[in-house]
Amino acid sequence: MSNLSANDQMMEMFLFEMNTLLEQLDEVLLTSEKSGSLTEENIGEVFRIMHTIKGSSAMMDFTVIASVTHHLEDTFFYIRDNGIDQSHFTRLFDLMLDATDFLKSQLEAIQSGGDLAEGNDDLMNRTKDLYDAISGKAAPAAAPAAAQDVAAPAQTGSPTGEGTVYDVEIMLEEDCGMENLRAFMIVEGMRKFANILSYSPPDMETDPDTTSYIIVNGFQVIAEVDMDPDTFGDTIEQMNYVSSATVHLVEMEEERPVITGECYEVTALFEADCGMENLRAFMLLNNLRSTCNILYYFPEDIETNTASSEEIVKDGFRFMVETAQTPKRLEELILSSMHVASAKITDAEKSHEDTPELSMQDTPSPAAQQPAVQQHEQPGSPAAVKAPAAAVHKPIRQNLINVSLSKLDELMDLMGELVITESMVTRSPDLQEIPHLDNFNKSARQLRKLTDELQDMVMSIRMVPVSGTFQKMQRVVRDMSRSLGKEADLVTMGEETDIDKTIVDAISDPIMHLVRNCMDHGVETPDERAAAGKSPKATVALSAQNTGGEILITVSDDGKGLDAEKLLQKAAATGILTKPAGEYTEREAFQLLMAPGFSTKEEVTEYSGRGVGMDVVKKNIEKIGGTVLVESKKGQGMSVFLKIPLTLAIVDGMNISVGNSVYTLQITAISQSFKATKEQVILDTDGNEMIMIRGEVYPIIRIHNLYGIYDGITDIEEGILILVQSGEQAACLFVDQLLGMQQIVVKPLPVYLNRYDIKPYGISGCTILGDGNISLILDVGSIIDLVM
Amino acid sequence: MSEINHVEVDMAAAIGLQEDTMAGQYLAINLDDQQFGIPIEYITDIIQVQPITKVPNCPEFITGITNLRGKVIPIMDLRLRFGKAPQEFTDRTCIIVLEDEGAAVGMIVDSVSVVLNLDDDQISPPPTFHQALDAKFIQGVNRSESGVTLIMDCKTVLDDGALLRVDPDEY
Repeated sequence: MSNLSANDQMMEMFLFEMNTLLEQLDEVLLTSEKSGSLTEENIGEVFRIMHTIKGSSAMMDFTVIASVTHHLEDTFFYIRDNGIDQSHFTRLFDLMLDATDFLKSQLEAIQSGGDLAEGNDDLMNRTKDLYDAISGKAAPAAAPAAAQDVAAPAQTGSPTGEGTVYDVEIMLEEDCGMENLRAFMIVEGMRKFANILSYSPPDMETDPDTTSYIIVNGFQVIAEVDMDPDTFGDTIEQMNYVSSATVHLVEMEEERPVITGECYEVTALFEADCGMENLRAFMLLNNLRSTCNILYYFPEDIETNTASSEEIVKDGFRFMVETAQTPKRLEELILSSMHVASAKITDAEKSHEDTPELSMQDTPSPAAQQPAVQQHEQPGSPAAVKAPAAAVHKPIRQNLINVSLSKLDELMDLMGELVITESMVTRSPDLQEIPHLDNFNKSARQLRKLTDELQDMVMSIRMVPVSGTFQKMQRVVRDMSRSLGKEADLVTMGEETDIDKTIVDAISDPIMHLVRNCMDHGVETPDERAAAGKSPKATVALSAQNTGGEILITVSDDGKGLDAEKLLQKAAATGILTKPAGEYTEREAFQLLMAPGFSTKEEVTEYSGRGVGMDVVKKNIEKIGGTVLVESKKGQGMSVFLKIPLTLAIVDGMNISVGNSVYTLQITAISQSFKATKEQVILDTDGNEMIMIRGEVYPIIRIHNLYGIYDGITDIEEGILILVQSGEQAACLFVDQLLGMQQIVVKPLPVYLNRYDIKPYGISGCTILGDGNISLILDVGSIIDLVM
Repeated sequence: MSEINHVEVDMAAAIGLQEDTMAGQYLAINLDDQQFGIPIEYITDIIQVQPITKVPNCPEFITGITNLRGKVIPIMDLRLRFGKAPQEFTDRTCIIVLEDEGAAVGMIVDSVSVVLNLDDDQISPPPTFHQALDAKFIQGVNRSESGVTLIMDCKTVLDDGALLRVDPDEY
């Protein structure tokens, strides 16, 4: 990461931001489309997203993206101000979704270094047509102008009174190109640290003609900021493409916080002997400022004159506020301030006539107070309505950072080394020769606790919710229901479930495949559904659930389900049956679906049915240590269950010994372990050993035979049996003894050994034990496959 | 893979021809009474014999895997690789870690003696056959007063294609 140039980093940020925004956009559009309405909030959201994409892409010189989003932004701008007629909805959503597709394709091209589109006239024209359509009779030429006129005030903030207002004149670097957009980006950039009150030319982001003006005259921004003019100027000059910034102080006369409401006169008494009453009074006013306009207070010199304490002690602290709060709430606010003993609140309306006189006497700055009173006297004036709105849009600081996955991977590797080293130290054979280890053991336990916590933390950093993956499926279902003439809803559950980032990436494609399968093969047409007595609209459900050691992801539909007999016929025809069709149970028949080259649908569709469906899903899921299970009821739908490990790298393992060799089993694979007697062992006609547990017969697999270990225990009564499970299969492994549980770091076998095909021999990897030796990790699934 | 190997060998040979003066360094190792030279550029480490974990479904000469400072590397017994009878490890037995194309492999040898500086003209082409050894493992022979050193062809020892296939009936 660190050796990336600044430009690469910017590009990375850009791509990250784009992807996030487009995902948000998809979500907004799909929920809106589903509910058949566009809430104001959603319109605003889409507008904001388009706006940001436009700005960032212009900054990165992706002009096509910028111009497409620019037009869409205009459209949404119009909609935001004027609303949109229901009749345009379909067109609007289609346009928007196509646009997001286009943007995504462009992003992919950027990411993969492919060719970017040189323009998208189709989208631009459709946007323009739609714009004309929704703006009704407005002539196409006049409409954008109208939009621009409203643009200026809409992007103008209102001062909060917390900073100084400056007028800044900014000149751009020569030949930086697209000056109007650069200027706009700078204004947007300034919003991070300044409250932008207005800027000119006001329509610079929509009107390319402003470019020439900006080149010659620069552009002006009036902003309120909590900085001195020099710092402010310097900050701006450090921004991209800015050549100079000239800052002037603006004399503020009419600008004061606009809080409307009733006026109250308050007399506050402080606790006896609290001391420094003047400063307490000052603090009280400060606390109130967020909710009230302080009109005047007496004594007026509280912050500078300690003698004013005496007056406050004697007469109380008198002040007048204007606030939207109820008197009761105001009293609570005042009393919640430190050391305030009591507060007497009187409605100032009664003493209204006194107010001007008092203000003349007591208010240090009449100018500050006057307009506020005016505001009060004209309730419902535009400014009055605006103030609360401005308060709502107070920016929320985002306490998130982006970290590259490679760093997290490294962290994970280090964590693994640490876990191994810890057990090397605490289980060092040298320790066995030392008689008293109480202190060592105490510290070792502490170390253990800390590494455990650290490990949990490292794991949790890598965890991301599956919601992103699920969200993408909304789009799949929507598009497919349209093109296939089917009606379906996607219901998601448990999308907040957290999964390791690498696993999320790995399951995204399989899930997409399964959802497509549901839509393509499972869900019937509305007519078919009606005929079968189901509601015409099908439901595709996607759920994620953390079941402790693993994540269970279910993709299910209420479509026509699987027909075991048809499956078997088809399988027989493709020649993938391994035993007579009659011997297959229904369950086994369903699993045939995942055999390579098996597709139930005759014709190949755009989405699925190429015959590389379920087997690919199975392979991909197995690659990350998961299992796939299909369940179905004919006529009622089918479900596919994906069982996926929470994380790949560090797992709980059980060490077992066979002769001098040590092997490790994943705890999740073990059901139980037990001693058996000779009488319990049943032999089949081929002499294979089996054992009956709770009415079920399991084969016994002797690890020492499997791996040709001759120094191990062979007497069934001396060793121990471990009942292990992998998906649907189960067996008993016969080993010498259990050595104990340990957290293990899974390491792949050396690449050099790949040529020997070890994986099918039941070894999925290896791990380094506390004593530095290596233990092989047994993969229950392939051991059972090997033996059966 | 093998294609790439050849290209690299050829390049190395080409460089060797051009820079004739550069003497090759070889680590001399012993198996029984034979001395072998291993080109020094392959060698990354020489370690004592340490616990080795056996891995199933590998040919006999792959003894297993071991933990080399946190890295898991495969171990090959050179005696068995060359078709010699297995022998108990002694305190002179050691593991030479070779690295080829990023993959490290440990080789168990009876003992290590010296590093030999040999000019290319001191190395004669390998005999077409050898009474005790498959000649393909040898890329050259050096004769001196102290005896004969067979220069090992590491690429072939690590991977000679067909021979590494394992008999599936072994387990």
